[in-house]
Amino acid sequence: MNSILANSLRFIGLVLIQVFVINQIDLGFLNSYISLSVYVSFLLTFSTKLPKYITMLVALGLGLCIDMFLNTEGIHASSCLFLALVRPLLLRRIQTTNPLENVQELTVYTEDIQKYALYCVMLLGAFFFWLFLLEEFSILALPLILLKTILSTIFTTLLIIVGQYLLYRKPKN
Amino acid sequence: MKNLLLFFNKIRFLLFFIVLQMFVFFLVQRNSSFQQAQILNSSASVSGWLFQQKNAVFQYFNLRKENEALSEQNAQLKQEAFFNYSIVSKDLIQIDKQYYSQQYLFQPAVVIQNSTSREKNILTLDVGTTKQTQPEMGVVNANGIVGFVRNVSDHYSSVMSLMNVEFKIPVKPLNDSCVGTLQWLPTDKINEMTVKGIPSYFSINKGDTIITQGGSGIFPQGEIVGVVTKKTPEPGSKNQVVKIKTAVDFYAIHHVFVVTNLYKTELDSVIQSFGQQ
Repeated sequence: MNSILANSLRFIGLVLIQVFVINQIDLGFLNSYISLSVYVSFLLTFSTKLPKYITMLVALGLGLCIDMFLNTEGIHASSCLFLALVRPLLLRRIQTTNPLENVQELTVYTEDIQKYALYCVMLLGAFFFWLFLLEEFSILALPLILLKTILSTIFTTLLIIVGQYLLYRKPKN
Repeated sequence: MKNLLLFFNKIRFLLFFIVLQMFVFFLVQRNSSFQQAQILNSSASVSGWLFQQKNAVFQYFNLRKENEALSEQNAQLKQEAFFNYSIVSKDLIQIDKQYYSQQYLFQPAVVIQNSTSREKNILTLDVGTTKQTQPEMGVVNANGIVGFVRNVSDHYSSVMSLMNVEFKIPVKPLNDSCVGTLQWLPTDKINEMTVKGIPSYFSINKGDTIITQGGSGIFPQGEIVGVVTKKTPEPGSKNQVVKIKTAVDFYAIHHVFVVTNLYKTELDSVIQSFGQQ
């Protein structure tokens, strides 16, 4: 019950931060190359104990919320779904050495930083690739899509990891 | 049969993903047609309300600029007032009401959300169907044209700004009769647009004013679009490419007017009846 409340608050908080803070940042000429999607952090840290079908439904809801605010016609919802599809595959790889069954949320503190950064980069890479592919909707624009994907992934990963160091409390063991 | 079922069982997560993707696609499909219920845009009530709250705070930051623009507009209107003109001859100045009937109405509105960083920039206004705002109405401000209404809900409407790669309308130079297409290319900066399709033998100079043609009934004829900054011949054709600077500053738009064309249904029915023949 408590975790549902905490997750709902985090959901609303991240959507508001994304729409009213992050999206107001003006990066000058980089605006068309970098899309800072910090709200995806919600799906990265989402509990691994819950069934993956629930994760996917939550991803759909989150994506639709962002689409509603940014007038982006469903591309964020679609990309979030893709991220939710890739995540279990990636988690299976990570989970081999460190059993994550009893972890409520996946943050920089529950994981080793290098492994967590890799996890973020791979998931966000998949997310942005799908997003820009849908946005451009042309296979001819592939070099541009890849450039945008790489730049956006790097900056969003940095922002998310720094944000987690600032906002999450270190669990006491 | 059993193998098939086993196979489906194996990929059930993937199937779930595909079904949800189709659901999103269905929503977008509904969203993209004009008359259908609007779910995914910022004229939806919740996001519209939130943007209005944000605007309630942020509007104070622009007050100085807004005041200057409004007083400038007031001065201009005062100059044009009837009483400022001395009567030359009674026959010349008298306006016979019978010869004029109003075609365009202007309704004030406030921009509560504005984006300039994307390829498809969209504004949200605080007027909706309760104030008779309909899709395909033009939006202008004191300086020039801003865009046109795409979607409306009860109290909000979303507007396709000129800074949108999908935006296209016919425009013409102030002193000439040639018509070109106004559009915003992805390479254009904010407050910069391109007019294509004007033949090279029409001489267009730097500093010329570009105005709307008024043929589609969205904007009145002669609304200012911008000023020519550069012209280059288009490679491989007899046309020229004209770069203009928009009259409206898209970084700072707050007060706008929604244009209602009172002859819109008449114009549409004439065009439609021509198509049916």
